[in-house]
Amino acid sequence: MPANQTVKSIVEQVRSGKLTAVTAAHACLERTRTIAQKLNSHLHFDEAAALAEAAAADLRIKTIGADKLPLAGVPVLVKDNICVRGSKTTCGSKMLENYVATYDASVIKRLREAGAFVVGKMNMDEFAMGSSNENSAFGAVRNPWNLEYVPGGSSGGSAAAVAARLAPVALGSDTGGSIRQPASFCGIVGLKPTYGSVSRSGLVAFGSSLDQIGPLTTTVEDAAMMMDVLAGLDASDSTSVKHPQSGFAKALLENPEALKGMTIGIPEEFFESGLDAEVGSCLERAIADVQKAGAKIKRVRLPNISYSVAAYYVIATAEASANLARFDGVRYGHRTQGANLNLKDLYRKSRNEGFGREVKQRIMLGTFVLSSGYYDAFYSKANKVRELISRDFAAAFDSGVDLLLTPTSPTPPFKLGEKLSDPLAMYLSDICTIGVNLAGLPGISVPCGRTKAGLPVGMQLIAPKFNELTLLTGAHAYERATEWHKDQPPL
Amino acid sequence: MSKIQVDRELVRKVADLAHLSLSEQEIGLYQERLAKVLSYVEQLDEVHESLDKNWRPDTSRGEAGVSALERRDVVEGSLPVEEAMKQAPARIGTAFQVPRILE
Repeated sequence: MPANQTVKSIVEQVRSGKLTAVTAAHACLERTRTIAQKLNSHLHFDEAAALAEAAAADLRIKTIGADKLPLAGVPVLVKDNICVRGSKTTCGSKMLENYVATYDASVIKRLREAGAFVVGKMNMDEFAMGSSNENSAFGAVRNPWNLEYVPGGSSGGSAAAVAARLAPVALGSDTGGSIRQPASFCGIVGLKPTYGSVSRSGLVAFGSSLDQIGPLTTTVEDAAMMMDVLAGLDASDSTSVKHPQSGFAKALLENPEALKGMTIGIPEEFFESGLDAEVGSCLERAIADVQKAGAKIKRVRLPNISYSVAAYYVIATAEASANLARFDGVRYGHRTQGANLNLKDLYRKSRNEGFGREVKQRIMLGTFVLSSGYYDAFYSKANKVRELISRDFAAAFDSGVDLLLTPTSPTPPFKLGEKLSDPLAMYLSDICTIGVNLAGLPGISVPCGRTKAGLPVGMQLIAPKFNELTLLTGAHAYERATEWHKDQPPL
Repeated sequence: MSKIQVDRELVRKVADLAHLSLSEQEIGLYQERLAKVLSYVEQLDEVHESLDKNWRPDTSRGEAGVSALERRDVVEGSLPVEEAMKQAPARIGTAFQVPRILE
């Protein structure tokens, strides 16, 4: 992939007849061949399958017409917890090492209908549980800005590859920050849409009331183009709804200076203790840039947000313990080779061998908080706190705020291995993003600076439910006023 | 919420409920890690919530804009049996094979 290609530029070139999907695929594969190994970003890289997909996209473009296909000829990378029929879908786990998806996720169908095609399946923290991509059974992913650092997680392979321009866009999933935090760590754009706006059918479930699929791109405009295709009602996901808004990419063109007249809320809790000094100064400059672009700044408070990590690690693990109960070594997935086992031991040994350390830890935590005697104290209480956090966000928006602005992560990318031994330190790296999932809101991370060591820093914008129009137009106006998104890692 | 004493017995009990057969070494590891996370999670106890008595978590999400979508009860195509069985680690004909349950 030529290092400056975006979703938008590819669609334009395909429409003007200068590029075909197959040519775009070749460029993409060539760059991947030389760079992917350094990053360990890809779990499945099947050149023949990618070219066959590209040829099918070209046929579709020829039959229907590129003008009618919003993503004509766009190569897409897919996190390995999203099903692509006939392709391995491992979730970064030994449990599903040999599992081949039997159907396409709804988002994959939508992308293909729009003229896009899949070029690779991406590395991730096992079952999307992690914030550094070190929990993959197939090795850690490295940050393209400095290979000694983590790319963030759990969509680390997706983020690293897009930052390295191996493709213009990747799909990720975000349960507590898994799109936004790696986007921030890799210096790209990551969008977590409103819960319910993008179908989860075909996404291997982790925390079903929190999971949401979204795009990782190099520009906000590309995220809007993706959202135009991804959002929508799907009968296969009972929590999906018809998004009340549409025409995201068009809105960006029509309102390029959307920050003018907006009120941006700054939740003070995110700027108090625990914020890295360099991240803090990047954010201070970003707030000044937002003001320069015509927005008013208003300090707000989210009184219960400090409890979000605690509530999340009860709710998400409870849901995970139920969702991952399906992996039993009987119908598909890893089965122990142990002989003379009874059924219960077959389950136990298969699961113990198939799951990695973090996954087992979260399954046990979730099992514990749902167990008799502890359910009310932990699970019920966490749900109540979740409600309070949702109300805090609603009150902030009701006070006349259009968007909230926060750091995406309290720290810049950290070194590989640095937080592996301390589960809490790792969990706390999601403190700025988790509340957004608990409240079901849309959030986006955009690049807003770099540390002295050259590592990317991201800014998060948050909008009310189903208001991606304000979120994307606001983020786009910021992006137009700054240069950070143009920087590329020195690979 | 009282302080939870995470001992080896509790880890064994939870692992059993979760269908995991942990080694003695793993029990020690998770004893330490779960204790650390649970003592952090216990801060939820500090929150004084004043939610309406009728508030319920399972219905609250609906009023917030996401309601359960229902499908019409009609027969649709599904994955062919052969394809569904293809990835079974062990099978007999069209049945998944498991160890004998009844003696």
